[in-house]
Amino acid sequence: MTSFLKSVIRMFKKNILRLIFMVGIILIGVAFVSGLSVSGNIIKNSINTYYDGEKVSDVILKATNEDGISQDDVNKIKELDFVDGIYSFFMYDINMGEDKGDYRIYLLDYDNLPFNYIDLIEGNYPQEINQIVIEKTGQSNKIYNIGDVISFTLDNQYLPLDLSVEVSGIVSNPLYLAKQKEYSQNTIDGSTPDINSTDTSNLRQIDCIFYIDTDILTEFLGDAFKDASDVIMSLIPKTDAYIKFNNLPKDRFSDEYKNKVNENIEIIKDTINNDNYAYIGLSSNLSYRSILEYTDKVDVLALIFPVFFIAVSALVTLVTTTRLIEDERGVIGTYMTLGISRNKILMKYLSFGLISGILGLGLGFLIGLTSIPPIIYNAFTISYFMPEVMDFNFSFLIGGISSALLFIIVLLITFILVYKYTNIQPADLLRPKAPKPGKKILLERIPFIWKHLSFSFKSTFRNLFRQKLHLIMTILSVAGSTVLIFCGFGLVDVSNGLSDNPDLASMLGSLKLISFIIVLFAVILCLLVVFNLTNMNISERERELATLKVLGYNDFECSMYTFREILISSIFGIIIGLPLGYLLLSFVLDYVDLGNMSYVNWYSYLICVIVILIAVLIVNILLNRNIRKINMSDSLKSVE
Amino acid sequence: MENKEKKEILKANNLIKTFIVGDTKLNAVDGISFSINQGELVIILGPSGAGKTTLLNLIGGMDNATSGELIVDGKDIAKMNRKELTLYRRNDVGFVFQFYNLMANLTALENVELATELKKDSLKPEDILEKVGLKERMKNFPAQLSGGEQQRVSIARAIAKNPKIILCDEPTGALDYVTGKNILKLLSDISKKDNKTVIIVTHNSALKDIGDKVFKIKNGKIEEEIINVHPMNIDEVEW
Repeated sequence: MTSFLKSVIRMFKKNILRLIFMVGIILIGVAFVSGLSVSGNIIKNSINTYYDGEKVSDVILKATNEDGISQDDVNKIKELDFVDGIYSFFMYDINMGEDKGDYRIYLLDYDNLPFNYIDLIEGNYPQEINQIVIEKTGQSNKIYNIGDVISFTLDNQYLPLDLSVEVSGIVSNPLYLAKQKEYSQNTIDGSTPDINSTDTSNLRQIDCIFYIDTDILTEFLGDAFKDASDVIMSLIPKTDAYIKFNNLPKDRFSDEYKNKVNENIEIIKDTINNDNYAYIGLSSNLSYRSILEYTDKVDVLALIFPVFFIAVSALVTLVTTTRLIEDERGVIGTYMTLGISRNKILMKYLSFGLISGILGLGLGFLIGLTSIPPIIYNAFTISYFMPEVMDFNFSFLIGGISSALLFIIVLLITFILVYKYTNIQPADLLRPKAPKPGKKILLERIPFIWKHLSFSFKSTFRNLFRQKLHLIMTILSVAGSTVLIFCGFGLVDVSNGLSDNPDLASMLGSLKLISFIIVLFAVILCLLVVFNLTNMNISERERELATLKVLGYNDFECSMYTFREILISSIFGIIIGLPLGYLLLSFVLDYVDLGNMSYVNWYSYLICVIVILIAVLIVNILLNRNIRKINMSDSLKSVE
Repeated sequence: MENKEKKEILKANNLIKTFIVGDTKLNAVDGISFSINQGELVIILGPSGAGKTTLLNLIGGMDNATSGELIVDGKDIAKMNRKELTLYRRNDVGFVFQFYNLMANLTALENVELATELKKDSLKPEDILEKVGLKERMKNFPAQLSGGEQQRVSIARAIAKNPKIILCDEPTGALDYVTGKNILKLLSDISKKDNKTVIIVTHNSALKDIGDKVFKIKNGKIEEEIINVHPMNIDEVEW
């Protein structure tokens, strides 16, 4: 092994803690960004795949009068070349009176459904003539169990029924994914509803959905009609028809899909020319709409917060790399006197950035993609009956861009610093960098403040302002963490506050989980940031700390020397971060159209401050050991 | 000088400090015994590696002895724990280092205050700085002072807290000849006029003539102890 290579390995060994921090900070940033940014897509993909499997129809054709859908029209539609198939059936919403509830009744042929499969999830399909299956229930539906007997009256003029039926099984219809109540076609005030309108304020809500099998129904009518069942069924006018197209883009949540569906509908309208039909696309389905709206909100959050995560990660990476190369100026000087080329020196320090970058990005993607999407997906199960299979098909776009950005920052700063140092005369590099002279700071010109500061605080303030760049970087890093922690807590408050509002209750569970993820990642990032900064501060002040020890300052007083500095710069960071957090959160809430800042509890501001101060405290207690370990005589004897 | 009270301030008794390097044991201080009285100027002389830094660390309360006694004004610091040693450094000993070790962000005056705020019976920092000839430069930061001036601040810091012993490690090592002599003069004056015990650790054998006592150290042992009844004036010594 060449001695140069040995020196590279030695650099890694010596800076192992730095390397771990770089990797950790990049990891957290990338994990959060990559994980959150793909979550919305994973959910949509999974729903798409599920829709594919269940052969979900693209349009529901509805008759707007009691005459129903004519078989002629069905046949005409079937012949259009972009129509994959059409299936007509009977569906009716009844209101049994205030206390008995609202029911939706489907009359279908279970066995031969070409679309929107009715999957049995519990019990059996009807075996007896008076048995039915019911739709699975969400949190807000009236719950019937298998074996329950339900009586209802259907006073449709073509199909008058007065039945007492037993529930034999519970089924799942892919059109009902949301755990909120479906809207009935009956209005609260008794007026005729507008099927094409999306305004649901005047609509009653369905308490239970029944599915009656057509075979069972004809049996129910008696043996005499058994052979004529097809004829009888054809006599009952069909209220609805599922239509599936074959010329649509795969992603049902895309605009292209919606546009193509609308185009197809226009062609159908022109073909059959019947004003008594309404065409309801999948995009009007309550579950579909709610999932799309909500994943869009997740996507917005996944775009805004990562900017801050990456900014903080980038800042800390920048500081760490800068200090690494500053520390090695003497080594660079030695290399130059030995005639080692600039490129070779550059390679050495690039290797540090590359290795921490690759490890951080690799692990970040791995952890982020495997942990966050399942959590968000799982959160969606609070509000939706999510497909059991999660479709991990996603794009790396946002995660990729932010990682590339982090990488470029690390490599660029390495280039700049190595070029800067290799342009300095080696002799100058070999001399230790003159310590920055102490000088009076601005605060000293405000005597009524300065005079009242204790001696140690005067020294702390001078120290802080002596290294302005370090101060600014520390403040910004803490400010960034503050913004993220505050937004996380704020979102928790908003989702709690909105829970009182029944319209939104269903989607808040997942918002709360996302908020917790933001808080968790922000706190970890904050701990790493403070740890890194404190550690650098201690190693920078080793000589000063050794001097204090020799003078008889005890361990606590020595710790306070660095602690005060970190504490004060953290407080500055919090002071800057809180208003920024307020602005960001109000922007986000406004953008995703969810509540407002008044939902944020006053104590969340306080908690945010306390969390950061506790992080600072914990880190300083942990790093106390490093201060205790400083060897007085070794540190004081050396020139630098 | 004859009227000086002959009080024993520091006494070492078979002092041993062992370092374990791998499998081998090394006695850096190997059974040293001596006695120092208050107000004496003591020179500890020896080449590098002789064990004088280890001895200085022990006297300065920066390290524990392996065995033996080291009694400072009646208290055995060889047996002290970490806390007691910190208090010892705080109250009883003042340090002067080769590279001054001043806080860059504090003025000369504040650097002295850094030491005096730890101890109640400290002397007034302004008075001490005036005594070492820095009255006009109190408000200056270390970077604005010459090497000699910085060492004066460091000496002022050491004596301001009124310690029992002033311990100097190569105090002239980073200074030019004339400045170095001035610093030695100052240390000698502190010992003679203020009746302070000053111990100087150095490899410069020319200093042997200025000490009341001189311990020549080699291989961790006192090879020779010289007592100068009439130590030379600093101005007469040449090197």
